[in-house]
Amino acid sequence: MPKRIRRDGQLQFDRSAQEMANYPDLKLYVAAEWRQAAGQPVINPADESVLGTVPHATRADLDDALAAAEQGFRVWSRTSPAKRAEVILEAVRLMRGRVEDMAIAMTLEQGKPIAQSRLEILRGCEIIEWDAQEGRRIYGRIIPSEPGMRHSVLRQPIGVVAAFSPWNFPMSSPARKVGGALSAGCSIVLKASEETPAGAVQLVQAFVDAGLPPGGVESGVRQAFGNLRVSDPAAVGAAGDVHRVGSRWKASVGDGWRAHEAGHHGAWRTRTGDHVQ
Amino acid sequence: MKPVIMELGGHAPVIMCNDIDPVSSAGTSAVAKSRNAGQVCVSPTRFFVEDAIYTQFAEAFAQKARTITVGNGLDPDNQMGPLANERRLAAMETLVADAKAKGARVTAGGERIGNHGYYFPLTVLADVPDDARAMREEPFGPLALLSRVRNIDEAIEKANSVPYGLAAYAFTNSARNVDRLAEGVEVGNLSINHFVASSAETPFGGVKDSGFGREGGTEGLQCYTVVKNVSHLTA
Repeated sequence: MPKRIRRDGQLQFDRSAQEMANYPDLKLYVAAEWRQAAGQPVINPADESVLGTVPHATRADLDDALAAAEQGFRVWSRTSPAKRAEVILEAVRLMRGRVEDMAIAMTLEQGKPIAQSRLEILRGCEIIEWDAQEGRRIYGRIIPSEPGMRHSVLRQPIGVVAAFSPWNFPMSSPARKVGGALSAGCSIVLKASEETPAGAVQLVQAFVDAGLPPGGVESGVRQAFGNLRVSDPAAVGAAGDVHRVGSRWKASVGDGWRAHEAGHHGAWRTRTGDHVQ
Repeated sequence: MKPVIMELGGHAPVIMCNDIDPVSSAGTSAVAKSRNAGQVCVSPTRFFVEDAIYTQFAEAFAQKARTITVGNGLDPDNQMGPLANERRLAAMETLVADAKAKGARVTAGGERIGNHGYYFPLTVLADVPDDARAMREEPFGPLALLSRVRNIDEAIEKANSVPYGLAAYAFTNSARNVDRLAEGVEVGNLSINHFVASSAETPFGGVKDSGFGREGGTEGLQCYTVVKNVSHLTA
């Protein structure tokens, strides 16, 4: 059993092989396949050991991910809300069965106590469940007007979403974005934190296992996972082609985004703080 | 043009009114602050405590903070793990040193634990002056900043004095206070008498420099949709 670190700083903890085995292989999920790539080490903050290597997506990976997500959007947005909910809820069911493995990986890479890791995963599951159920009730409305004139207000999925998630909540933050986007009928390209990527890898795996995409779209993905560096212009450039950006990043990442914004669109401003977290 | 949802930093104020039990509220506060070692956008950080209960609250907070066990998160006995990276460790040390130099008292924690792994204890700073850097910069770590205020109006004014507006908390049993807080505190999420800032079914997000758009709730899903009006002449 693990031992506690003492207040005098003496490290008494022995990490078992079993716990290490809980840390997943880190790969990119692009166009319905898991890809390897060179990247950077992931550090365990409890003892500064290396847990694995997080791959950095190349421009080609991102182009493939975006193309696949666009194809996925065409299929997923035309899938009935009931069927969408069924697939999403199946992914949640799988994750609920994997809580312990996911929690250990989270504590290894992020540091939080194991009980908090378990709670975060369950909370992430609850968020996705709520979104999946609400996805069946994205109602429009009919507006009364002159006789012979009918106004119908439709709410349609916005398109391919680019999402960026931070290192402090490795699973529940991606869950917010993936749950919301998929439930509304969007496809999504997710970029998790380089420092705590396992939660997103496991989340994507659950959706793959749940049948997203279903057999009818072998060539498409609705979830393309890019563990890319946002400071890399290639990464940011690809994200610029998507329709909605869900973000929850800290200043270092926001700075990269500002550079992109200046070069391309200028449609909106980030207002991140000045300090790097 | 791309629509965007941004959930950015916060610097959550906690307003403690003088009609509450300072000891139990301080205990709840210390545990809430320790969650994820304070590395939470909605972590309670600036505690504005009314004069009549300040001393008791500050003592109870420090006492509870000293009982929070810190160590490897895989050990179920530990209530707080390491900070997630080395940068946070340096930030805590800098912010604590600055606050001390400006007159704050360290009543719990304050120094790194050991030199292997990024361990930093739950740290309580009492009598933190308004010009301490930590009062304006989001610590994003296990720092609780305690400040004495004369009344709820001063507390609300100080709560709103930073560019952030994500989450805020308040503890009171007075409906009149709740009304003033709900009207006056500039945030996206205000929680009264508890420390849960967001849930699956409620809209979560910030105002001012804390971002825009919402995640969660019906608002969250609507952020992933576009509205189209179809006008149809039928006659």
